[in-house]
Amino acid sequence: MDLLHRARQWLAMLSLRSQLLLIAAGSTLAGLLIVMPSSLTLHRQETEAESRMWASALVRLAARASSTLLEEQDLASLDGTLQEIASLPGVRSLQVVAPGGRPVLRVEHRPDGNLVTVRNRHADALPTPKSFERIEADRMHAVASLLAATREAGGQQIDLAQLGRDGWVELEFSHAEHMVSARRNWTAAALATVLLVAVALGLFALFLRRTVQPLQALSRFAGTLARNPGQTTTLRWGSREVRDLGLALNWSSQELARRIGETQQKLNRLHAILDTAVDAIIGVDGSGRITSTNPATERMFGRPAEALIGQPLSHFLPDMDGPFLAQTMEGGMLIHSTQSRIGHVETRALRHGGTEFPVEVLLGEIQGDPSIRFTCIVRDQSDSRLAEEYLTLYGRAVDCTLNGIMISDARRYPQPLVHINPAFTRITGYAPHEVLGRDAGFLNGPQTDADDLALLARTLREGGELTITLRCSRKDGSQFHNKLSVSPVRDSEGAITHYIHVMEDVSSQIEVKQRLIERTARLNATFDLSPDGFAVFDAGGDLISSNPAFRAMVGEVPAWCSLSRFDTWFRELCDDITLYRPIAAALRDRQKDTIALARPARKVLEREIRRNLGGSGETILYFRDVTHQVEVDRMKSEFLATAAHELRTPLASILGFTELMIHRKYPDEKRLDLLQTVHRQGSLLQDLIQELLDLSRIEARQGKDFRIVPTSLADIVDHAVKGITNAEVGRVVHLEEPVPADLLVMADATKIEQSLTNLLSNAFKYSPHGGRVALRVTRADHEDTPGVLIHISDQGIGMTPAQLARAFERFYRADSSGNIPGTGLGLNLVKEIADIHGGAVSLTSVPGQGTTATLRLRTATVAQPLTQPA
Amino acid sequence: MTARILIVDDQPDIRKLIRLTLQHLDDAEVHEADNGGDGWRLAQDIKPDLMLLDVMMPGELDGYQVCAKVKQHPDLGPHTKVILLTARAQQEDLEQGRRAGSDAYLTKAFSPLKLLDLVDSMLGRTV
Repeated sequence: MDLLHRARQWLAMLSLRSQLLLIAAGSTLAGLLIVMPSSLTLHRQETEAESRMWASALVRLAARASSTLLEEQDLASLDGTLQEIASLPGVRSLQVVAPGGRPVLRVEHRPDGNLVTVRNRHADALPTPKSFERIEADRMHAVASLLAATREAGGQQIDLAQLGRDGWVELEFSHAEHMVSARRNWTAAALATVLLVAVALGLFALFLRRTVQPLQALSRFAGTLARNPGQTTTLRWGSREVRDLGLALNWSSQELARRIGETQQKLNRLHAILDTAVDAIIGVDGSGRITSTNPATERMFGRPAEALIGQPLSHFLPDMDGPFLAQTMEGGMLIHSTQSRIGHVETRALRHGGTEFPVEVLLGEIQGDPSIRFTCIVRDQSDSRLAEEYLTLYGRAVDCTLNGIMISDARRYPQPLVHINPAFTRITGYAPHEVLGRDAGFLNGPQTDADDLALLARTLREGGELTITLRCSRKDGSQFHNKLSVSPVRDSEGAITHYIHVMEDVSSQIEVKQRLIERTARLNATFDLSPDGFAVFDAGGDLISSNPAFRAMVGEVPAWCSLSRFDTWFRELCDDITLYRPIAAALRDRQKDTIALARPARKVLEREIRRNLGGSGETILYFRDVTHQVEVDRMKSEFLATAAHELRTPLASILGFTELMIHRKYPDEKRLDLLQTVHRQGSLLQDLIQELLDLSRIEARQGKDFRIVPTSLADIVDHAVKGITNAEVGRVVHLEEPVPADLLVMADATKIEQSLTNLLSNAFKYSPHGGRVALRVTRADHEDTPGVLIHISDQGIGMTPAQLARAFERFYRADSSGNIPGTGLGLNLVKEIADIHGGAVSLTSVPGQGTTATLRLRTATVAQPLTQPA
Repeated sequence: MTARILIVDDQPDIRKLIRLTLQHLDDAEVHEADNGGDGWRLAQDIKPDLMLLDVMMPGELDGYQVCAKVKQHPDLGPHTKVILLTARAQQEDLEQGRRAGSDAYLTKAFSPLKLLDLVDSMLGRTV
C-alpha cells in the first residue's frame, strides 16, 4: 500500500507530458509483451503444419516415383530419384520399404552432409508403421504406401495390391531449418514493430510538447496573475480547451484587477471619509485606550496622532473611562439588522491646554477585532451652539440692515411674500400685515418699465439671479428708484423654495448720477470748444482724451503716446530740446512753463500740469497757445528799446551842447549855432513824443476812437493842403484838378488829414532842392469795394528799392545823414490809420527822380447819410 | 605826439558835439565817418589811437562789428582804444560791447566833460 501511495505521489509530481508519455510507453510495452509470444507460437504451429504438408507431399511424390521404378526394377533410377528428393531442404532421410518390411533402399544425410544410398539387402523386416505421420522433436516421419502397379513388368507380374498394401516409403523430415528461418523472419518483424512503436512514441512526445506548452504558459501566467492583475496573455498554439482556458484566465485577470481597483477605491473612499470627516472618529480597545484616530481628532484635540494613540480615552473625554463605555453600550440602542448596539452620549471634552467644550459622542462596538473594541464618533457641539447664535444674529442683521428685504415663497403662485424686514417698511411705507401673503406686484407704479418687469418675471421663472433698477411706487404713491437684487434659495434637491429680494432706494444716487452726466456733458462741450488744449492721462499714464484744440496745436497724437513717453514726443517737436522741461520737473516746481514748438508749426505754448484731481490719479496737461502774445511782447519790447534809443539821441545833443555852453565860453556866433542845434533837436524830440503818443493811442484803442463816417474828401484835402502850405519858403501843393465836392469817403476826417499832412511833409522834406509836389485824386474800385486813390508825388531824391522795402518800418529813416529831420514814425502812422479805415497806403519811387505815395480810401455809398466832418 | 581820434556816428549833431568837446584836448587830430563801413576803412588808413564808435548805425556794419574788426586786426587791435557810444543801455547791450572787445562803454546822453576825462585817461595810458 505504502509503495502504491509513493508511486502515485511520484506520478503526481511528474509533468502532464511525462505522465502521458509514460502511459503511452507502458501500454505499448504491455501490448507488445502480450502479442509477441502468442505470435511466436502461432508462427511455429504454422511452420509445423506447413512442414507436415510438405513432408506428406514429398513422401507421396517419392512413393509414386518408387512405385513406378520398383515396378520396373530399375533400382539405379530409383536411387537417383530418391537422392534428388532427398536433396530437397529439410529431408533428412528417405527409405523405401518393400512389403514385408524389408527396406529396399535408403538415402540419408550423413552428418558430414553427404547423401548416401544404403542398399540393405539383408536387413531385417521393419515393423509396419501405425500411422503415416509422426513427429519426434523437430523431426517428422511421413509414410506413404507404394502404389499397386497394374501392368506387367518384364514378364513378371507384380502383385501391386500387395505391394501397395504392404510396401511403403518412409520419409524423415526435419523442420528445424524452417523453424530457424521462420524465427528469423519473426524476429525481423518484431524488431520492425518495436522500431515503429518507438517512432510513434517520439512523435507522440513531440505532439504532446506542442499541446502542453501553452498549458505551461498559461500555468506560468496564472502564477503571475496575483502579482500583476489585469495583465492578459495570448496563445499561439494549443487546443480549443486551452484557448478557452486562456480566455477564462484573461477574463479572470481583468476581473481581478477590476475587483482590486474597486476594493482599493472603496478603501480610499473610506480613508477619505475618515480623513475629511468633520467629526473625530476614534478607535478604542477593550481597556479604554485609543488605538486609531483621524485628522479631525487631531484638530479637535489639538494634538498629533502620535500623542493621542495609546492614551486612555478618558484623558480627552474625562467621563468616558472603560466601565462607562461598557455601561453605555449595554444601555445603547439595538440595531436589529446588524444585531449591534449604538450608544449616544452628550458629554464634555478637553482641548489641548485644558479648555472644555461640549461634544456629542456616538459609540459603536466591534466584535472580533482585537485592536479596536469601540468606535467613537465625537462631534464638536460648540459650533452648532454657535450656529444657533449666528442664526439669531443673522435674523438681527436682516432686521437692522438699511436694505429692504422681502422673501417670497416660490412654491406657490403667485409667489406670496412670507417675510419683510423693517427697512422694507421704511422704504415703501407698507407694514407687514399689509403685504404678507401678497405678491410683490403692488410695488409696480405707473413709471415702472414694462420690459424690466418682463425680464424680472422671466428670471423668476427660470430660477436665475438678477440685479435691476426699477421705478417703483411707495404706499403713498410717490415714486422711487429701486435697485433690486433677486436670488433664489434652493432645497437639497435643487428645487427653488424661496426668492430673496434685496431692495435699495437709489433715487438720490441716480439723481446725483444724472447730474454728474449732465455736468460731464457740459464739461465735454467746454473741453471740445475750448481754444486751449487739454490732454488727460489716467493713473496708469495712458492717454484718456485730448481735445480738438490740443490736436490743432500739436497735430495728431501718436498712438504710443503715454505720460511716460510724452516728453520723448514733445522733444521731437522742439528744435532746441534744452529749453524743454520734462513733465516730472514741471510737476516738482508746480509752475507754468513755456514750450517753443518747431513742428507741426512754429508755436509757443504755455503748459500747466495738474495731477491727481479728485484723487483718481489722473494727470491733466493744459496748453495755451501764446504764440501771438509772445510775438506781441517781443515786438513791444523791441519797440520800446528802439523808441528809447531814438529819444536819447536828441537828448544827447541837447544835454551835451548845453553842458558845454554852461562850462565853456564860446563866441556869440558859435553860441547861436549851438542854440539852433539844441532847438532843432528839441523840436525833433517833441515830434517824436507826439507821434509816439499818436501811434500808441491808435494801437491801444485799435481804432475804437475813430469816427469813420461818410465825409467829403474835398474838405479833408483842403484842410491838409492849407495846413502845410507856406508860400514864403516855397511850400506849395499843386492840386492837379479840384476834388469833386460831392465825393464822400468813409473816413475819420482828423486822422486822414494827419495822414495827408505826413505824406505831404515827407514830399517836401525829401525834395531838398525843390521840385513840384502834386496831389491828385482818382476813382478806383478794389475788390467790389468802391474807392478813391489819393496820389501825392514829388520830384525829390527818391528811394532805392531797399529803402522802399523798409519805408513803413517804425523808426526807419531813409536819410541817414541827419540832414533831413524826422522821427521815422510818420509813414508807419499813415499805414496804421489806412489799415483801420480798411484802406491802404503804397509807395513807388525812382532814386533821383522822386516818389509817389498813394492812399486808398473806401467811398461812401449813396444810402449813407452825409454828415459834416467832426 | 599828436593823438589821432576817429569819430564814427550817423548823427551829424552828435559828431558835432564830440568834436566840440575834443577841441579842448591838446594836440589831437580828429577824424569823422558817418557810417560803419566808412569808419572801418578810415580806421585802417589812419590807424587812430582812439575810436569813438556809435553802436546803432545804418549801413553795412554796426558799431559792435566795427569794434570787433578793429580789435581783431593785427596792427590796430593792440594799439587802438575803442569807446562805444550808444543809446541802448540794457545789460545785454553792455555785455555785447564787452564781447566785441571795447575798452569803454558810454550811454547817451553822456556828459561831454566826463567823455573828455575818459578820452584823456585813455590817451594818457597809451602814450
